[in-house]
Amino acid sequence: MSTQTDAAPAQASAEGQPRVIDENTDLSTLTDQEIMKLMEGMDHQDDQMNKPLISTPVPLSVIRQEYEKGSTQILKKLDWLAENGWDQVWRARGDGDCYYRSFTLAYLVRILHSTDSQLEANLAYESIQRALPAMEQCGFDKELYEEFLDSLLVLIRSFAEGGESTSTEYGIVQSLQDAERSNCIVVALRLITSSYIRTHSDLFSPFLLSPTTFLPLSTDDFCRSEVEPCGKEADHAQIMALAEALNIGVRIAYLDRSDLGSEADSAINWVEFGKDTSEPGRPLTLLYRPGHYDVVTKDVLPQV
Amino acid sequence: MSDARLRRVQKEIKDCAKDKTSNISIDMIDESPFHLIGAFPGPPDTPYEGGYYEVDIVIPDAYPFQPVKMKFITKVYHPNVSSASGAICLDILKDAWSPVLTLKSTLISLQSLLCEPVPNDPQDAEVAKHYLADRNSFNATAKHWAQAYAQAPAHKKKNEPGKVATDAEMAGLSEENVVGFTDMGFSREQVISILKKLNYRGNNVNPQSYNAVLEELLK
Repeated sequence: MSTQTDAAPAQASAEGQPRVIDENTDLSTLTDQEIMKLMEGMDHQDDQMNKPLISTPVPLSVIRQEYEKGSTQILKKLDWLAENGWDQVWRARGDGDCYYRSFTLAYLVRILHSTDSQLEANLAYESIQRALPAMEQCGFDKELYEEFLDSLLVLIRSFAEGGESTSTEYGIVQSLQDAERSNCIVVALRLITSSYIRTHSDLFSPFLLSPTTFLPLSTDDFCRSEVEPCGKEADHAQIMALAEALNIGVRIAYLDRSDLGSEADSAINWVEFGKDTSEPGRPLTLLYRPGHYDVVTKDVLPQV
Repeated sequence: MSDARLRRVQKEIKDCAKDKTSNISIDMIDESPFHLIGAFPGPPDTPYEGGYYEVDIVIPDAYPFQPVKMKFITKVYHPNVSSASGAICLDILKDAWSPVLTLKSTLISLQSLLCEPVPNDPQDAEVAKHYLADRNSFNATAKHWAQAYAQAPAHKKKNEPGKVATDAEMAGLSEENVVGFTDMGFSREQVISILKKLNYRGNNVNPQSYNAVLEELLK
């Protein structure tokens, strides 16, 4: 960001000091360098907003390419994932809601790939219903949160009823690319998370810190500023609360520069949340890169 | 997209009209439900008591996923409200907005902002300085503004009914200090603007700041 505030003369500005370019700048006076800089900025901004909210899976090797010139530790972790069958990544848009969007996708794909989708859908439906009293207890407007929740319940119900629109991975991705539906689901999950933290305050309060100042926040302040608003990243407290509230296991592969996993059989740190994170419990599996979450899965055909 | 947004806004307007206890009103300006005027009475036991405050409301396309846009139409003397434009500094109108908040709950938050200013995160730096430097003088000025712009009745004890506050009082300055400089031949308008900018009030009135004022006036 340039800090120069004086109206700059039309010609190139003083050496080293980039001039401020705004809607009043005569475009014909732009230097090649300035044009390049502007284009870069544009690319970067549009970058996120042009990306789909959630995308069909790409091979893990695509992610690996991004790190080829980077840290060997990260490459080793990626190689370990690939060797162990974690070979596809479903990318979420990096808009601060990526955890909730990734969670939704993984949650629905889990239902799709279970041996009895109908049963699994009914279980999911019941889990969500069980989270409702806490929301009411926290004083959220029932009519408002029901409208948000409905977007998620409709999708789950379509599994229970054997509906066609969601019966494939592609169908799920397509449903979640609809901005209004996806945003409604994000809000619904945020409210479930918030009401779980609020109703289990004694459990969570020691861990509720401001992500910017690292100072402790009250439960109300934390939920109000870090959970309920859209675009606020989920951290351990939110991830834990959502997993507990919906009674589902979540495993997150940490693709960071930390030391390699200490267990002999794993080169990556899996951080686990919720009740059953064992393989038979079929936890949701996410990939974490600092500041961002995607879904990572094994490309296995659904068991018949 | 806009269907759900329209439904939600219409419902919010209707619910607010039904609620007789909150004293909050939301009205349409023309046929569009996306540009509204909200209004509420100034909270009791504040300098804004007795005033009636109108707020311009614009519902963005991505509502309720994006915060509603609000600014004061009625002029307000408050650290978190621009005294020139009515722009408001309040977290829920920015990054702490959540889709479960409503127009009514946001207007109530504005009402409580009037009760509890947050001078450390000001919208109007001059007003915030005044608030921090001399609370009594700040309260008096806020009250003058409420009477002049928000139809608050004049307080019986301090002002004769119908008496209009002077330009110095509206700026939260003492007449004595203003006259001290106008007597030297500077224009009243210029003196008031500079004394305001330098927060020439309360403990800030000392020989050092006196010289600073002269320096500014002679620029």
